[in-house]
Amino acid sequence: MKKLLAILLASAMMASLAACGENSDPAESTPTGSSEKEPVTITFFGGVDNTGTIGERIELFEEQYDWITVDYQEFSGNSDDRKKTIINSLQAGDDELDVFLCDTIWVSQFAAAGWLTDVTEELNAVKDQHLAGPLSTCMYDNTAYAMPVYSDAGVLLYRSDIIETPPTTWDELVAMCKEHVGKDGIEYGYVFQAKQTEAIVCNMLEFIKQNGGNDVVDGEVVIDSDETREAFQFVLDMIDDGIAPEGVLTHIPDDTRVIFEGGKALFSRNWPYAYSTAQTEGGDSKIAGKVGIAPLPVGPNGEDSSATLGGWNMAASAYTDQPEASKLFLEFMSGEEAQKIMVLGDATFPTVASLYEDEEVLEKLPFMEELKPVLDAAKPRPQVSDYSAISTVMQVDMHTILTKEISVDEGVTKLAQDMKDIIAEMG
Amino acid sequence: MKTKRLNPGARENIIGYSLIAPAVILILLIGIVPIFNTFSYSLQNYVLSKPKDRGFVGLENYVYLLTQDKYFLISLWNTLRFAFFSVILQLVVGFIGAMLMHKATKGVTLVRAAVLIPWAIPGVIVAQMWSFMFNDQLGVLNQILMNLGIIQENITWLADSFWAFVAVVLTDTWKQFPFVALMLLAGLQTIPHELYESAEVDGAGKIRQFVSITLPNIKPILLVVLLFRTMGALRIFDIVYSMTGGGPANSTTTLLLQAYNYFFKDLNYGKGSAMSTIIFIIIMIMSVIYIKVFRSDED
Repeated sequence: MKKLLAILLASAMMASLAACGENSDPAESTPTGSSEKEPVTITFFGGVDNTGTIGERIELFEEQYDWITVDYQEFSGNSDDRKKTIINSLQAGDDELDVFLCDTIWVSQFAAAGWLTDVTEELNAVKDQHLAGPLSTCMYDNTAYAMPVYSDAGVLLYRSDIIETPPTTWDELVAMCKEHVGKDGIEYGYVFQAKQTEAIVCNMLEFIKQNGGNDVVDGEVVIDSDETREAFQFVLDMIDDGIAPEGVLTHIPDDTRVIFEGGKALFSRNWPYAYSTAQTEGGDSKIAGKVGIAPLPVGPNGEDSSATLGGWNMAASAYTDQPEASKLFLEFMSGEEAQKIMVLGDATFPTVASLYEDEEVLEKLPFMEELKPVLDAAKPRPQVSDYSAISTVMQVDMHTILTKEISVDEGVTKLAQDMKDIIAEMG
Repeated sequence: MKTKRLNPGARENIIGYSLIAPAVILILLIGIVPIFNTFSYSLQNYVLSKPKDRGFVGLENYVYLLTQDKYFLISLWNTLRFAFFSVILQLVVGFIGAMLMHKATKGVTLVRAAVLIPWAIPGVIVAQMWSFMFNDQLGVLNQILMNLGIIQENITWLADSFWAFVAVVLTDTWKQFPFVALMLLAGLQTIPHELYESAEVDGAGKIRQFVSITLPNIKPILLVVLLFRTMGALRIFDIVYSMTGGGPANSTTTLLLQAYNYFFKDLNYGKGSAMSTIIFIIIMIMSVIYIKVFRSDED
């Protein structure tokens, strides 16, 4: 009995220790006066530094501003996980957190809550250097609350050792898939992401807009259309015909990446990060050097290769006790020098226009020039005051259609109605 | 000088109260205060991104959840059926585990320590491990079934509403059964051997021994386990969040997942708190029922 108690207690301790590990102590920041020369520390919440470019940029920044130290806190997990941590700090009015990487879809929500520092002056000074799409994601109520760091748009990755010219239409895509599936170790034609998370929204809105449909225009829901129905039917047919595995209904971008890098798929829709990892020799990728990147193909009723606009900005907390140093860090991270380091290391889309003509960038990533139009044409997700609420109903309704719990026709009608209801509730 | 004498009973009371005071204060701080806070938020229009609109709205949030919320009923239904199946399965598996450990003679300590491992792993990691196993492309489950010739092509477990639910129940069972097993083992070990010996002398078979000796003796601990596990199951979140995100087509979404969506996606602390309060009330009702059963049983 005693032994048993000891085991129980020990395991309880293990469990609680494991729980403790999740909140490691953020390092303390040094309080300062207003003098520039006095050393200060700012705390930066960012993603995991997979490629080392975050460290590189911080080092450079600290060289240029020797009185500022950046305390970089790495956060793993997806956008939702990171949002939770950041909200916890912001809603407590905590001055520990100074600057953070901010998903483009958070800006309006955080700005409305009064959590972000106004950076209109800083952004206006460099406005002409940046692309228009990413800039618009920094604005809320005609005020700038963030500065762009990199942009994201869905792209088509293909096996350049098998496919010479990437497909430009859905029909071409399907034809190529049918030709090559079953040969050269190719098991699936096309892999994309349709798990009931933000992934299905990004992917389905692309299919819909590639086919000439749209989601919300001037506050009006216009998603209930034949173009939308055709887009859903196309995705369902791809799954039924074995061009796409049924598993796409449970996949997020990293699942897609693993299948594609394993050499099992001919085409893959992903964010550009997946290109650089797939091309990296000596890693998990079995297809290094055999990957091409192109705009997504267009549906029968569409004209534009329409990609969903994603990306990350830098924002400063409204509660920062180091507004000056924080703004300097924002300007630096958003500037050409820092973005160039990131483009070269991570193959992400820069928001600084001149980098698309930069010799060094084009030498290493020749496709950048060709993909700039993709980014220029990339479409933001519905721009409504409460994006997350409308995203929730889209996730559920879209997944209901793709799992065949409802017919395409009824499903699209319901999707449109639910979106209208949510927008009406927002008032 | 006259000293006021306390009688020994009162003195003992004071010592007793002062000894439990730290614990009571701690529980007040980490238990009661947040519950009260959450309840008071649930009566407000409290959306972080609309700080100007904050104000008292009475039961409006509750009315909204019960009548207008698109996902309340499905998440309530999912939570209840999840609790029902996972608790029953955990009891059965846990009981078998406890019996085996009780009977075993060799390597008992090692087995007892090993059996605790799933329970000590954080839920999110458990969910990730099982997601890999259920993965349609890379999962070991499809691989095994394929090699045995049971299936011809990969099954996408987490895209099917039935299998996704089964997967979530199995994963939670794997994580939680060690707790049940060890609690029941503790119960089994308190039963005196003499009872079984005399039953044997009286000619009672194994089944009769189990029904008449084992079950009645571990009943109190069984009910405690039942109470703990039901409370835990009604608060299911981490496994569903990581494995299915509530899908496919919302067929595994739970009350706490909806509360999370309100809190952290919509920043709607009013509705999120109302949802949390509803979960709290459901758990309270279940606990009262269990405790009633427990009490009447003791009489």
